[in-house]
Amino acid sequence: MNLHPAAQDRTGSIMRHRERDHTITARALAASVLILLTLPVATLVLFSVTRGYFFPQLIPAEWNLRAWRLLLRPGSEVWGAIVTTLVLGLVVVAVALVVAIPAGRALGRHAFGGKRLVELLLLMPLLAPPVVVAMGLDFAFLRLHLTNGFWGVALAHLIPAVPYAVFIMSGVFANYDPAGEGQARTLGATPLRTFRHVTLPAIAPGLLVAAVMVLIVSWSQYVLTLLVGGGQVVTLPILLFATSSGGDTALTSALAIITIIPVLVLLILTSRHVSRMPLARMGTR
Amino acid sequence: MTALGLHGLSKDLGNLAVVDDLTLEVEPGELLALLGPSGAGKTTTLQLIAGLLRPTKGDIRFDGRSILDQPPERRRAVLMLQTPSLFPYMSTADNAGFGLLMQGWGRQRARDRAEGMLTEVGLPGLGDRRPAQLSGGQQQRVALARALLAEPRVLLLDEPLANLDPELRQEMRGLIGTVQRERAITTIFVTHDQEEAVEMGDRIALVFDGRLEQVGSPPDFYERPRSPRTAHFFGSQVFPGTRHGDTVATSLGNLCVTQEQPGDGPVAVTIRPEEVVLGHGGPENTVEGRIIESHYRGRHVTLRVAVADAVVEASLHPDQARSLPIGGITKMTLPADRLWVMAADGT
Repeated sequence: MNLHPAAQDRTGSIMRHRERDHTITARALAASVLILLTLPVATLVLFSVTRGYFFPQLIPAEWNLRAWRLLLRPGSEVWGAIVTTLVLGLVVVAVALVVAIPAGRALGRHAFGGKRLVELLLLMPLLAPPVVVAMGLDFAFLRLHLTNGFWGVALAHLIPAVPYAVFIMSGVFANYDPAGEGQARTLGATPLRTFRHVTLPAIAPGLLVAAVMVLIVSWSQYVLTLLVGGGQVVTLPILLFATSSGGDTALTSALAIITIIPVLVLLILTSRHVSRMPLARMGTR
Repeated sequence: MTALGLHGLSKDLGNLAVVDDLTLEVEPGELLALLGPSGAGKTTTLQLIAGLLRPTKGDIRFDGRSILDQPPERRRAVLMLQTPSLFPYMSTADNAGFGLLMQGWGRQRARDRAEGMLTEVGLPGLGDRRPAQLSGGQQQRVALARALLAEPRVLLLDEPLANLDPELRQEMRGLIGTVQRERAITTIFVTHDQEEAVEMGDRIALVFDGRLEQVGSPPDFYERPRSPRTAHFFGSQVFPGTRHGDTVATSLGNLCVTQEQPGDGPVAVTIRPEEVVLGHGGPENTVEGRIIESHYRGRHVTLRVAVADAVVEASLHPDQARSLPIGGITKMTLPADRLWVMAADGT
């Protein structure tokens, strides 16, 4: 540091130091988060391509792609599971959004009798342990002959999915100015075209976030799929748990990577929108 | 034939009658200023006409035909609001041409037409901008262009100038007046500002608490207000009193009046400040008071003169005011034929 600094220079220099400190702190934080997130995945990658890698070995004794070859071979049930998980996820997203747009609008914009109760009921599936929910559902669905099939599972996934979507959309609508809709109507737009040209573009970023959240909820669902699907609906998590109880570390690791990668990619692609969401205002009003 | 008729129009929200038995007719090409304090039901009235709200009772007719069963998009009653409410995801030209696009125009044709209209409202060459890149005043011009391009049968302006600064407001008043007259668009202009109503309106409809108080030309409201409340709203001085024959007993003393109606009972009288004769007594209605304030207003001076418990406002030529200093005692005359008598509020 300068030995004879003018007062102003000193302040400036301290400021610069502070800024540098902040940058260092921020970078360290970002790095640790990155490490925390990537380390498990890195470990999985390592385990998926080795065999018999035990403590205190420093370097795995044997490297091979056996697990990957097995999982990705043509006719492997992984392919079916990916399709099932994806189709299931898309169906759940579609239904949840169709419900969440009007419901979120009602909760975000209007005061009505029993609003608190509706909000509480929506929160229930998120608060209750999944096993409890799944057991009860299984009994109910048995009577309705909805067990052991795709649509029953889709319906079950909607129980945790709809609250997420509704709360996100109610946050979106709480910050939404509906004046433009009335304008569009008087300018000659039908209700449908008003939604298409005015409402939809305004809520699109929030809708995308809701879709991603719902897809992740459905994608990672295990208990509900297992109990309601009765093992007939094989999604990636079902396959993963089955494999993991088989004790093959390489196979389990590879399958875990297959399960987690699409979710990570989706999150990275949409993170710009997610971070812009007014989370603090969600579910209020 | 009237272009727009409201017939016994009522709108209840909860137990509150926001619009209460409103009957009003607007002539083709006329600009009617719908005036009233905030909460008088002016905005609700516009939304009823536009079809964004359904009336509880009554009828709305365009050219004599009821349009109550028509949805907003079929009525062509175009609203323009206090906030521009432009569509943020569209360019300025697409915003202005929105009505045309909804009518099924091709995008390019609508855009060309919109550019022309934007030039007319003073925004040439800004069609490619986004609304966020425009100032508030510019956005309001785009909103005006958008409303005009939708070819309204009835143009509904809901305090469109309230958010603009005074200079811009004056400019926009002129612009709206010009385009409205040129196209002879039947227009309702909502405002809470009586000066704006007087300047813009061919006629004024004054509403209080959802009820129509008085309809008339701008001078009617100053010279022949129907109620003390109306006179107050237009800034006129009001002296309550009791009428007995040709005399009204007020806090200023007994005043002779020539007007025949309303008859005996509680009344109020008003007089324009420029009709008060200062400095000397007349044959009747002469009172004496102390000058408590004097305001120079360029072409005239407004004096406030305390008489007993009341204050009389008088305006006179600056030359004449020089001999009337603050604190001085003066006689003044309220000519009987210049006094306007109204039945007291609530009778």
